Amino acid sequence: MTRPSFLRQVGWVMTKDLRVDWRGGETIWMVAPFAALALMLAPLAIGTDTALLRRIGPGMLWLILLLFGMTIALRPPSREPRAMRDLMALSGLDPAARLLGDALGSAVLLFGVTLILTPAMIAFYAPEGRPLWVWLLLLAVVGSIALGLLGSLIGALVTGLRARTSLAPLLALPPAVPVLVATTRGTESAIARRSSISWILLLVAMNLALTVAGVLLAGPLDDTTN
Amino acid sequence: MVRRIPSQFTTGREVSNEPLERSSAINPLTKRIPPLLRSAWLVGGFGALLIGASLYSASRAPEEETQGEAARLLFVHVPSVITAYLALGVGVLGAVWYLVRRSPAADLISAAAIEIGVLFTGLTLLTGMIWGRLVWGVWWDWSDARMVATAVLFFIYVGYLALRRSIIDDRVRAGRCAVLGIIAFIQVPIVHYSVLWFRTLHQGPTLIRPDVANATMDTSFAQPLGISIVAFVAVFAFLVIVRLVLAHTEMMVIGMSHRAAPAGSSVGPPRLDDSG
Repeated sequence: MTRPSFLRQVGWVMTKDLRVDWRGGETIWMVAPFAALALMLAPLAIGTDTALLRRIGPGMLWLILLLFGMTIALRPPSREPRAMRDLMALSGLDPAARLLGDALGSAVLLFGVTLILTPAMIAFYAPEGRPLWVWLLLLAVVGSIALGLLGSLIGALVTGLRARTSLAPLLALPPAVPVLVATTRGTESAIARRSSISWILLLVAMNLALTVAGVLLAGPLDDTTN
Repeated sequence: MVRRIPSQFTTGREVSNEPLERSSAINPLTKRIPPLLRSAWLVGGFGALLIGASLYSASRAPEEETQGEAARLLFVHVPSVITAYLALGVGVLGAVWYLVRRSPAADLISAAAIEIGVLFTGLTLLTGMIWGRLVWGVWWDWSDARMVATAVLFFIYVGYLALRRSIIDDRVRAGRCAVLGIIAFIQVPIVHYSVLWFRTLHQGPTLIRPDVANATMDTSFAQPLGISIVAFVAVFAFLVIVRLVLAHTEMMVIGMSHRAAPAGSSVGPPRLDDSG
């Protein structure tokens, strides 16, 4: 039997994660509504100053996506049962393919949440705005991939630890600061009907760096989880 | 004939007769501890002398034209950031060494250096904030890329220390912390070059800069600053050695507790001694 290609292995792991999430419905029925609610509650806490809300809207969107998105991105493999981790290890899948598959699965889910929250942010924070939607869509894609990759790397670091729920955000949030800055500035540009290409290229570069780091470090990480 | 009941209690030491010195299987530093301790006192003494010299020369430095007395804080701030870079650099080298050779000593050196690096990064932030208050008029400025990047660096490495504390198994801890130690180090060049990459309030690099030949500083400032940097590096070396000795002691204690029998296991039921 020939070994399946690397990309095929990535696809299998991604499909597995998406199926597990679809069956549980955690992202659609819990994380996304909770994040949308947070986006709605923020203006009530800050005040209804329209000019202020327009200024903070993009930052609020990506801050909420970062905080809530990490609960999605950190889930596999840190929360999957021991039996599933053992099965994945025994199946002979490449550790890098498993890590990238997890990351892409999380990125798809995060992209879905971003697709819900971005129009909600425009409606709540900049209702009179006419943003350039193409840039917002591209930012949602590259931003979701960045958070997915970061979450999967950190998720692999905290796999099986008792303190993982409190430790994972502490590890994941500081390195996510460049992603937060780039996505926020890019969204601001798109709302102001300017090009966001420089921020998107920066995020693409970050994604490439995170992918290389993931591929190189997946092996050593895998040694510590099995 | 009087029957004697043998003593029912043991001290627990009978469980393992293995001398502690033979525990090198669990402790990669055992043979190196006595020379390490000797060098610690030597390096510590040297560092204390240099700290005294740097304090003296910093107090003798002239008042700076624009910053006034606040400029003297730079004799602590600049050496602490350079020492933090050095410590985190040693940490990443140890992490790479661990992943290549799987040497437990590399893991211990990496962890010790990063722990001290976090201390010096914290000192950098603190002295920077005090200097900012005196010169800029604010404790914190969000538009200053160097300040914000240093805070991010600090929290990334606080996360490293938290990860280290939360893993019990030596092998798992060493592997995962090595990976995080490598990822975290990416932030160090970002911190250093943030003043060149972003429009920021902080001044550009004075000492470690791409055009190092053009680095200019008045001798009356460069001299005490140089002594301070050497003193801080000596203090770093001293603290790393002390931390390694402490790590050795920790491992000895853990090794003892693993070898010792569980509490109460030395107490058996009474038996009649037929021999006498």
